[in-house]
Amino acid sequence: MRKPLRWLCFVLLAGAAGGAHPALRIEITQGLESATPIAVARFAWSGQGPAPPESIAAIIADDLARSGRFAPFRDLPQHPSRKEDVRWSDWRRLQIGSLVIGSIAETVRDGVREYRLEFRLFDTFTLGQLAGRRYQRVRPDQLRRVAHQISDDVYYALTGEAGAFATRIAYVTETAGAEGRIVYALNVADSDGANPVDLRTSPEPIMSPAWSPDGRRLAYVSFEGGRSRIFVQALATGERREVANFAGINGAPAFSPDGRRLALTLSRDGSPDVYVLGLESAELTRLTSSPGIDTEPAWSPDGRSIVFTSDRSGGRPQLYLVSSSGGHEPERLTFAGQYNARAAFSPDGSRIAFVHGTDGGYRIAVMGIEAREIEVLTTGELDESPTFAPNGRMILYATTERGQAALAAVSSDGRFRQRLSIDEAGVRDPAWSPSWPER
Amino acid sequence: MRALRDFLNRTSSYALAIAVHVAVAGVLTVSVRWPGMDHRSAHQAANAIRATVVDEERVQRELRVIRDRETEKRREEEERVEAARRQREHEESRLEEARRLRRTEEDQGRREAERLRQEREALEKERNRIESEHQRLLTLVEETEQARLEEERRRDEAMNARLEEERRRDEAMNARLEEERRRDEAEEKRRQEAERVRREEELRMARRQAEEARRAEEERQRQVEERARRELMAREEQRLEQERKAIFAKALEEYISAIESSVVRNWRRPTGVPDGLKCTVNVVQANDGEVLKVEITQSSGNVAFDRSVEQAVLAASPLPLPRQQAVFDREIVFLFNPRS
Repeated sequence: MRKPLRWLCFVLLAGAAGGAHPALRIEITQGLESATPIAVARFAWSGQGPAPPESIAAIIADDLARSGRFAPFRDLPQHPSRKEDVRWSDWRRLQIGSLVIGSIAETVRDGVREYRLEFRLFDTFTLGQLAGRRYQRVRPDQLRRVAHQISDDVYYALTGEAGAFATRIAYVTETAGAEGRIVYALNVADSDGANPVDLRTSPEPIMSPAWSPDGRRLAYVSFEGGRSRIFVQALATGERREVANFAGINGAPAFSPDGRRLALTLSRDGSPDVYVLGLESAELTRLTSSPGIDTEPAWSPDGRSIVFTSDRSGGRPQLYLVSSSGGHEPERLTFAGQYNARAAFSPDGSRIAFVHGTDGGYRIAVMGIEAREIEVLTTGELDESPTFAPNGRMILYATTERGQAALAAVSSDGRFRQRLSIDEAGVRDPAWSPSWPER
Repeated sequence: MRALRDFLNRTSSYALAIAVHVAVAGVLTVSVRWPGMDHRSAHQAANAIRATVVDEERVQRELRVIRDRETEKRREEEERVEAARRQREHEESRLEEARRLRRTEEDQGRREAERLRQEREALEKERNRIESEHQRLLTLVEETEQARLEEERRRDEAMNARLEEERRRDEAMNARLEEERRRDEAEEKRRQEAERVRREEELRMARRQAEEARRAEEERQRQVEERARRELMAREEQRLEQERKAIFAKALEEYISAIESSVVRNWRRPTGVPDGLKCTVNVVQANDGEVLKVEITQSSGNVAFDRSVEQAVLAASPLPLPRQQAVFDREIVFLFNPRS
């Protein structure tokens, strides 16, 4: 066992009248690094009928657990819903410093069932309330979202960082349909994989969903009609618009941060190159013009730069950086490894996540845009399509488990990985939404 | 005459002198014994001599010679004796003559007597003279002898004086030597005395020095012992102080260690926070170790980290108490500085 270094500064009995009393100084250099213990008590139900099927407490606890930063306690000694019911010493004895209590009440307005939720987050040692909020007029289909919002509140109160629980993910599934035909579906689900919604299904491949900055629209590639086209579809209404249907390849759409432009890959002028398309003006700007393949553009958060994948150097895909307004020769970003592709900017723009291919396989890696040191985060054999959570804390990616495509998440420091529980098989091309659109 | 003179010359001066003496004595005796002889007869004899004046002259001459000789130097003793002999011979002859004459002149009466008397007077005179001469000679001889003896005596005396002188010198030498010896002895004695005194003084000095040294040594020893005693006491005190300090430090270390492990045990360092975070909290505890206050004085800038720190201290409450109350401190500053 490593003896902790400690520094002691004794000013023993200095006797200086009026001076500050010299205190013992103790340095703590060791501490079990662990997820923060937390307890989410069952929300007290009050209403005429049965409680809603969703357990708000469970959703919150699962959210916090999925972040990798919290360790929700499962076997609670009590389920208080009011502060005065809390037996603080019980929680302290369990070394659970954070306790979430709450209640959910049924309200009926104009014959419509609604709920009122409120929660409080307490520090069981200081007995201080760290967070608290009341949610009124919550429709039943909004309960999960509210639960995720509570998770965000708790997360923010305990970490100082914005949570990313009340977000959604888009992804594509391939399922076996009738007569053995594959059905492709564009899905959107809560960040925990719950509430999956099919936005579109097609017997032709659907690829590369991309969120608009406001979270209200998705751009994606669809091969319906036998050739690739790019659509932008509003989530709320399901209304969609074809934005790119050029000759050759139309692929890899990416919304600009202002939401008014789309970067995409077109081969209309020969080999695939990266273009920027004005969504209103339909103006097309060609950013690259190499004889090789240039594709998978990703905007920097400030909208000035675009990272893309190109095999222009020796036929191996590498990442390049180019100005989003064009006119400059792309700068090669990656040199290590045989395969570096499918980049995504972190929300703060400091890093990119990408697929890093070596002899051992294809894994998710991150690289500082300045330092350009590659840090591999995952250990899979075929990990792909990384996408940052809007708080930058997690990276969602597609992986292959036992031959099945699945979604997984890794903390952006690589310390915590978790597989998303999405029942459907053949999940690909995840894209993490910027934020909950309605918030 | 000449033969006689030779003969006389051949005899020794002493014999001659003796003979002269005898002759003269005989004459004198004859004259004295001469019967009937009175002053007149001597006077007659002197007359007889006077009768022979010529001879007298010769005698006189010869006497003069003798006298001359004597006056020249009396060294010619033989001459003088010869002269005397010759004079005696002459005298004898003259006496013979005189006797013959007397017998011839006996008849002459008074003249003759006169003459004899004169002669006697002359003879007496002569005899006195001779006697005086003799006496003088005797005296001379005696004087010579005396002188010789005197010389010898003087020589002896000189010898003796010299011997005496030598003796005295020897004595003086001896005396001097004795004196020197005595002086030496005295000197030696004085020297020995001085040496003795010096030795005694030295001895005394040495004793005093030894005494002083002994005292100094005793003093030094005393001081050394005193110093050693003080040092021992100081060391003992120091040791006790160090022990107290060590006990205090040990207690403090144990106390700190206990608090530290308690806090560490209760610290859930949150995952997902950046490396290198530090947080300092001021903690106030009650006498029973219950944490009364936790104040973040230096935030890590990370909510989760700060909160974990705060909760770690609170979770460790009540903090362990020290074995020694002295090391207890109501205020404790914790620096949470994890080494990843």
